[in-house]
Amino acid sequence: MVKKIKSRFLLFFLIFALFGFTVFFTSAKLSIAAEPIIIGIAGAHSGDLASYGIPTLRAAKLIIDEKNAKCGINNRKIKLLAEDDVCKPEIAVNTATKLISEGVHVVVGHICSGATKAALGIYKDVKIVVISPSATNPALTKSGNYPNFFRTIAPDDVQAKLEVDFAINILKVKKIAVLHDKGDYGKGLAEYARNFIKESKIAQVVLYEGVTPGAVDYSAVVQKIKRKKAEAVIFGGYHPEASKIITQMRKKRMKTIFISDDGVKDDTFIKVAGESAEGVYATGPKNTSNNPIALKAVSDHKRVYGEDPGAFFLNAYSAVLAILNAIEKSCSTDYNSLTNALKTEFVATPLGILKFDDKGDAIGVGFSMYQVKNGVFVKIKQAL
Amino acid sequence: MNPVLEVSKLSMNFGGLKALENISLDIFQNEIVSLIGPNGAGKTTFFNCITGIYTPVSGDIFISSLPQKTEKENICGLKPNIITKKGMARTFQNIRLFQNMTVLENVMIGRHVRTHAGIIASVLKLKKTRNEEKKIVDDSYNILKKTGIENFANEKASTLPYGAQRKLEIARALATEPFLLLLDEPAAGMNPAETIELGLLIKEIREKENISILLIEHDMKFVMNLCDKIFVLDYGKKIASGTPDAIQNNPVVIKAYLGEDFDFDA
Amino acid sequence: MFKLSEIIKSIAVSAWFMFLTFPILVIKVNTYEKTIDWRWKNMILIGIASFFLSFLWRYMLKQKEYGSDKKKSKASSFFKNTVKNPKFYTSSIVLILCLIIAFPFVFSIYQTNIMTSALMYVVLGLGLNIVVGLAGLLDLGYVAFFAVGAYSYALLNHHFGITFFMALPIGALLGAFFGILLGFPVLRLKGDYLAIVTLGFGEIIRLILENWNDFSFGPSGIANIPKPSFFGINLSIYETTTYMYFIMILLVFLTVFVVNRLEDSRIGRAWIALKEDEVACQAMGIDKTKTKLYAFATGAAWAGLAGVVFAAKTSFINPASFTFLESAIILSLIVLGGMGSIFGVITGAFIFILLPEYLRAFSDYRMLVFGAAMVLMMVFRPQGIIKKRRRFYKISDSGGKKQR
Ligand SMILES: Nc1ncnc2c1ncn2[C@@H]1O[C@H](COP(=O)(O)OP(=O)(O)OP(=O)(O)O)[C@@H](O)[C@H]1O
Ligand SMILES: [Mg+2]
Repeated sequence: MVKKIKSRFLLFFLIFALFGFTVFFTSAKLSIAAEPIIIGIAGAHSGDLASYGIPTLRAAKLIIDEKNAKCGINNRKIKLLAEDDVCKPEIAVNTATKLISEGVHVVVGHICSGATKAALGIYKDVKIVVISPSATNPALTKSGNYPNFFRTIAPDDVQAKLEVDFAINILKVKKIAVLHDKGDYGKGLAEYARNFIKESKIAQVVLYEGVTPGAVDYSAVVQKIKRKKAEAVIFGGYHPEASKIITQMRKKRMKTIFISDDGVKDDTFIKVAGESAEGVYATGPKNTSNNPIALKAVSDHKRVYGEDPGAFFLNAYSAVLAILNAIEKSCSTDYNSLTNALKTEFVATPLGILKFDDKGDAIGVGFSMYQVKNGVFVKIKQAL
Repeated sequence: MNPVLEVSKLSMNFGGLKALENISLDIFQNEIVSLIGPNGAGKTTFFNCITGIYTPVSGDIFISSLPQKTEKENICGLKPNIITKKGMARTFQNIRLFQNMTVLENVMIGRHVRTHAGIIASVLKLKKTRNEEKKIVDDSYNILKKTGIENFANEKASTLPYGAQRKLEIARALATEPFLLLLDEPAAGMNPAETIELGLLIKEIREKENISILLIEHDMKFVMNLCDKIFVLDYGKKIASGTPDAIQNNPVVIKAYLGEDFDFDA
Repeated sequence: MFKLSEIIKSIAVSAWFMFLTFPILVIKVNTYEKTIDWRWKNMILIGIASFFLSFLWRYMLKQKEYGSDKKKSKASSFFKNTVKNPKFYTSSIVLILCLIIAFPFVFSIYQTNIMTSALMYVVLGLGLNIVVGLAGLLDLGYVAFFAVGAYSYALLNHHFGITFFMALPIGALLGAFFGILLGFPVLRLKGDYLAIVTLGFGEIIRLILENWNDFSFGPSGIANIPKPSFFGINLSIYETTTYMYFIMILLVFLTVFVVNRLEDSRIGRAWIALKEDEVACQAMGIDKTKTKLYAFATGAAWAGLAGVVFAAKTSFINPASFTFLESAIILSLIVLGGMGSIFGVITGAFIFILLPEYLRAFSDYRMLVFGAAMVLMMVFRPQGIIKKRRRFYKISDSGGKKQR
């Protein structure tokens, strides 16, 4: 029977050897890195969340092709290395190690906050600057743990802050009901809003509750809002729930102010809620569609890919421009000079003229308050 | 002297069906006892009740593993594995071997109740555990030899011929060191030669191991030649008991078997 | 050569496939121009391909039925002869050991890193193999114990500064504890019901982690989990990766050693018997309750252990890493590799975890390829790549002496 075990052993050995060879050849092929500036693009390029990651890849390609056509930056060509992390932290670690083993100089990504957190530790250790177009988790910058991290999107709490400040300082309300849809995004936002209200000490949270997403009838929670005599409702979540809640509130002739987030600032909301939508406030990204760089980016995208760009395209476009600008201005890919350049040099991007604060958040990227007037969202001037 | 097994007024229902009604019987040390009855009489159900697979509706089951012991123990309602540990082992009418294990391993499973190695001991495999393992293999092999199927030791149980599978069931039950062995139709499906061999094996077990035996069988010739005492069940009731001779001439028994194209002298 | 009936069969098959793939491969809605593209060419290709593949399929099925052992014995006799040679045996062991040790120094940090992942799945696979492969308890919520391990390190470290090496046994013990916790309610369940309840258990753990913000920090997870320290020396990311790799190698050796011993022990045999026939098992005096709980606990302990390593390796964990898909992958790798066989599980883990990494280029089709591989596997080799063999005992008449 020794024989049998050995043949099993052999099979095992062969498989092992096979992997050894594969590994050897894949890695051997890749160990050439020198002249060009290598930019790693990490994010979800396949799977459920690919639609969040692909636009970044495209934005980077558009810019880099253009730059390379004009002999690159500082006379160095730019090379792009895309790696997929499917938005999973555990895969993001692999992606990050792969990128650093292939000698990237800077990384644009990752797309999801969780994956970004997992990968950042690795980049930090080898001093590589990371700039994300879409990771909104506040702790990424605020915790101060990742000095190598920058982003061209406002963190989650900025919206909540804007909503609360608007309600308290401009609308002067004292009793606020905070609702959310129990989702990651909505609940996170509501949580921040609640804390900001508490901190303000001017207003108070009279109701904090999660509603079941997808339900038909929200009269129970509407009744509660009425009973608690809330003057304003801050809702964290998306438009389907928001439109039902607002409709049911207006049916009961409640005049309570309704403030929500960019999940609600969507034309579908107005279509569904109809009359009731009038007067509703919602925060949304600052409108940059008149920005010439943004117009150019979008038209380039249409020309090359034949369709409108997807999520975070302009943020990604800005991120790539910002990092390339930093490389160009500092004449190097050295960590210290890069971070310094990012924090000091202004750069013109689709999101406006940017530079980064000490924590890594882009100054000037943020949200505005909008209100529904005559069936369209209109930007409110006095809002901060 | 106490009987090794004393069942009193055992009843079992399946929904409305009275599968067993007030069955009482006892078996003494070194007896070979048979339980007979037409199909569906409740014989297997009786086995299942006394081995703990079913919990009887009412009644008591006493065992006393040592005949000289005065107090007896009620095992009614205990779990099957506890009952096996107390010394009653059984075989199944529809063979229930561990099909994908080897013959030897099947018997080694029987040694489980009499051995002790736990998880930690198994991992550390100190001398004590190694010796125990070795002893399990030795003992199991010896039991296989006793039952005459040692040649199949390393075959998969499912590849065995039918007769050998029945013997393996007996070997496996013997490995648990019972004082009472319960055999459910051990001769079913065997050819005449194998049946005779089986009879000898059962007698040998009784003589050499001091094990009492209760068996269910339809082969009347086999039963009459082998047993000291017979109990007859019909529709869940005990209709007769006694020596083979008495049973053969009992009109109630004959009536119960009538219509079943039956001949005691078969 | 081909019978008419076979050709008709193949035509039917190809028609069926064309029909099935019609909505996905033929119709394409162009949302930009609001038109529909009809890609008839795809349909023709599918038709032709499935026509010919159906012949191959039937041929292979036939081949399988007519017992392929005749051919196999000839082909593999060469290997067997080579392998019989003890010199070859020892030298190949030495070679493998060298390969294992040299690996992180020869290959890049990335290769080392994914190898560490694969080794982690080896431990997970071997753990689940105790529950499913040996004891036959279909556990679809195995990832819950993995999560328990990961969170126990992350949280204990966060609150009390417990180090990695202290967390390893704690994670394993907590895993085992949760294994027992799951074990109790499902003791009476078998097969499908057991699978559903364990599935539910896995989801419950994940939902708790997701919703109990005060305890687990909710969906935003826990970041900055430290990597194991090396006698207090600060290691660079390259060194840490190598270090993790060797820790994982040691853990795999430990797992293989323990699982191998358990398999050949009194408890291991009881597990296998339990899988075969519960009633007979009980009738043989095996305590069903205890044996099942042992299986759940020992299986879960490995998941807890692997969870600790996972937390350290990823440095960030959140509940999204512990979805049902993870359980399914672990289960699939043991089915693919060969249920119940240690070599099989190791092979399965390498194939299942490394291949997708190397197949990154085809990432969109990864799951498709795997689905197809699993189906083919189940049709042509249901025992998995490496089949479990029963142990062989050599007995001399003077007494028992066993050998493998
Ligand atoms: N689990 C059960 N549920 C319901 N009815 C049962 C069950 N087990 C047995 N029975 C019924 O109880 C009666 C006795 O069955 P049992 O198997 O004990 O008969 P038997 O005497 O062993 O017959 P045979 O000689 O055919 O083996 C039969 O009517 C049977 O249908
Ligand atoms: Mg019966």
